Amino acid sequence: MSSAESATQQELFEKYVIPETEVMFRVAMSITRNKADAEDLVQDTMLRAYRSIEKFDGRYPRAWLLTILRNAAINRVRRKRPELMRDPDLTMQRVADTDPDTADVEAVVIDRTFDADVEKALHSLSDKFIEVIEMVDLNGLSYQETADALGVPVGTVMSRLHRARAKIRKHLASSEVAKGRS
Amino acid sequence: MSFLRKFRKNSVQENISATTGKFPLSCQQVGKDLQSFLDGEETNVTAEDLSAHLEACKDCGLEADVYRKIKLAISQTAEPVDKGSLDRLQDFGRKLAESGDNE
Repeated sequence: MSSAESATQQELFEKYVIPETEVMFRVAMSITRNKADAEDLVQDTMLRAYRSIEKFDGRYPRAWLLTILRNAAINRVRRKRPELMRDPDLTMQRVADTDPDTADVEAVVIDRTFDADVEKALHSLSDKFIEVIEMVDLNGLSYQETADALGVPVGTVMSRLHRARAKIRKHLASSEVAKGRS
Repeated sequence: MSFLRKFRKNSVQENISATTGKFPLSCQQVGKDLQSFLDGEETNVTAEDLSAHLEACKDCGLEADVYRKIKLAISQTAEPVDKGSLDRLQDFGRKLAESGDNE
């Protein structure tokens, strides 16, 4: 490869890939449930992105990277399952990462009991519902980006997400009744 | 508030707008698009119409509040990204960009 080609590849990588490192890591954490595996997955994704960046058209870099990440995750699961498979026990305990600075100040006044009920309801859902909620509400991905990361149609993301929140809402309503609140 | 505005507001609250045809959205239409709207995603109806309905219709407004609180409560369960991991990955990315993957 010539130095000119190499410089272009470097520039493209720095422009499109490096800024998405944190998002890739958050999504990798949601998929692997493990910090070391998430780091490996992002490194793998970066390598694949580097090798194909000159074919990338520059549109929707996050969607492009999340698709690469998903494919890399599938290959890794095939190679070394079950380590990378979702662990239901861990799912119950952990939450994915996000930037606390982006949290709304309104959060301060949220009823802690309500928060606890929501968390309990969230963890009572099946993995396919939890993962879309994590992608959208914790990782801040759009529906399309979530679809790219999970390898499902956008309609499926919407349907799962809306049903998941409706289930949480229903859980909260029954919990209110159980607690005798008005 | 004019009689007409009062009438419209009451009509929306009583969920009869769809049958009168005087208002752009029914509660059912709002229900279908509510979560997409709160997520800042594309909806089948305009954001203005949705906002107006949520403001005028008590039931839909309360529904929206519940979903906003659920979203907020979920976001509050997040932990900060591990800085060590992020630093290592950014360093890996920069080195990769500078020297290639040597393959």
